[in-house]
Amino acid sequence: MSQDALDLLESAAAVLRDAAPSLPGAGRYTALLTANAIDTARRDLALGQRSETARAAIPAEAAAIRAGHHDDDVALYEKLHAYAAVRAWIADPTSVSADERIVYIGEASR
Amino acid sequence: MNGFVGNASLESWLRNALKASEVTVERAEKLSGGAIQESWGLDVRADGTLLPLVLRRDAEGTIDASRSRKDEHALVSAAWAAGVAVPRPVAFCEDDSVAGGPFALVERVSGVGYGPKIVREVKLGGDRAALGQELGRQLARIHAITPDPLLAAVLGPKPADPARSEIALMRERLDSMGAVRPGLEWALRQAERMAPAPVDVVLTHQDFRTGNILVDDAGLTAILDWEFAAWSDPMADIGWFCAECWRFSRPDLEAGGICDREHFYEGYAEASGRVIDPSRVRWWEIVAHIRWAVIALQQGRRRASGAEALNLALTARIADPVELAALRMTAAGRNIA
Repeated sequence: MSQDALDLLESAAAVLRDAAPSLPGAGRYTALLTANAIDTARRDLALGQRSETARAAIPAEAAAIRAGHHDDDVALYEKLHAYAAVRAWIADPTSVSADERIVYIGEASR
Repeated sequence: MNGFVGNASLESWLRNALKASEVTVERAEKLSGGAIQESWGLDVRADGTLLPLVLRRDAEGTIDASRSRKDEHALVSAAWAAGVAVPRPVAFCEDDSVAGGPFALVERVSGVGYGPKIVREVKLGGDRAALGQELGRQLARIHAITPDPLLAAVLGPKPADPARSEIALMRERLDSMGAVRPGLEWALRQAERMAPAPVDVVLTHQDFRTGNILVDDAGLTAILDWEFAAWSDPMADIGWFCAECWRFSRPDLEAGGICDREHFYEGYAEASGRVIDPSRVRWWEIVAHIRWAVIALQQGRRRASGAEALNLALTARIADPVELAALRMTAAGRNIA
């Protein structure tokens, strides 16, 4: 995904947000919802590779975690935290702390 | 056209339910909120008197965790009888042909329900400390409800160990969705290791939070959305109410973004006679995050169309930040309770 394409999506979402207040009835809600969806998709595209890398770095199966094979596995916890922070930023950038942003998201969190 | 105004079957049913000889549905408007159910505000003229009512029926594609409308009506009726601030139940209709599906009818209560707005606009709900105390008192009333045999049948047997039952239920729901979520598995496993021993088991609301209450300028007007109510640890409701994911823009106000815990706890403790154990509440707050993440994932799997489909897809994404919060609370080497 090129930066131009990401910028285009950002502009499209901004246009919808600007137009929303003047729309009648359910139009305002629909426009804001759609802008939200575009923003989420844009962040997902921007961080897609980082998200996939973070997911691939998790060495444990969910079943093994459930079975208690990793109860005190600090290294695993760190990888889970990293992946969750990337996914959380995509869904809602405000949910990620300043420290998590620096460590796990980096430049993409503009 | 919404199927309520000019619906002869509905008006006939209403004549019987309201014990009136002349009934007309003058207006019907879909109310906001309620992803799992549809709520419609009806203005009904019955023998010349205008009655503001709410009709609740299933929305498109409900989720497993949600009770039927009939069961929910039984719960609201029990709460009403126990003096809990709920809309007065009017009647229940099981006949699909009347309004496209079973529905409950309750009196319409005024007030604002949208959680972020309640948190943001501090003039709503009157004095916030008093509102917190009142919410605590109301929750104590809910926990004191003794179900009659009919409601007891709806609720089923009490779990011997609500904490471990909740863990098992969340795993079961993840499995039934085919959702592979190592982060949630971590949080569930850490919670399981620290699960509190069972003490009390009471009727709990299970969705008692800012966003499921109505407030006006003076204070609380109603507690809504009873479709998840079940037997559990009373601290489960307190943990759900205080969980950070339900404080919206005021994470510093730990009682639902409304006030500090002290006032909410005070109201609850005074009315219930129960001592609040902070470590037990803390545990239920962790589970609240896990549960909300699981519900969000379930929402994303519901069938819908148009804007509602988009809304559900975005709701499923909420599972990600909520999972992050649950992970922060269950860091490796940390005593979570």
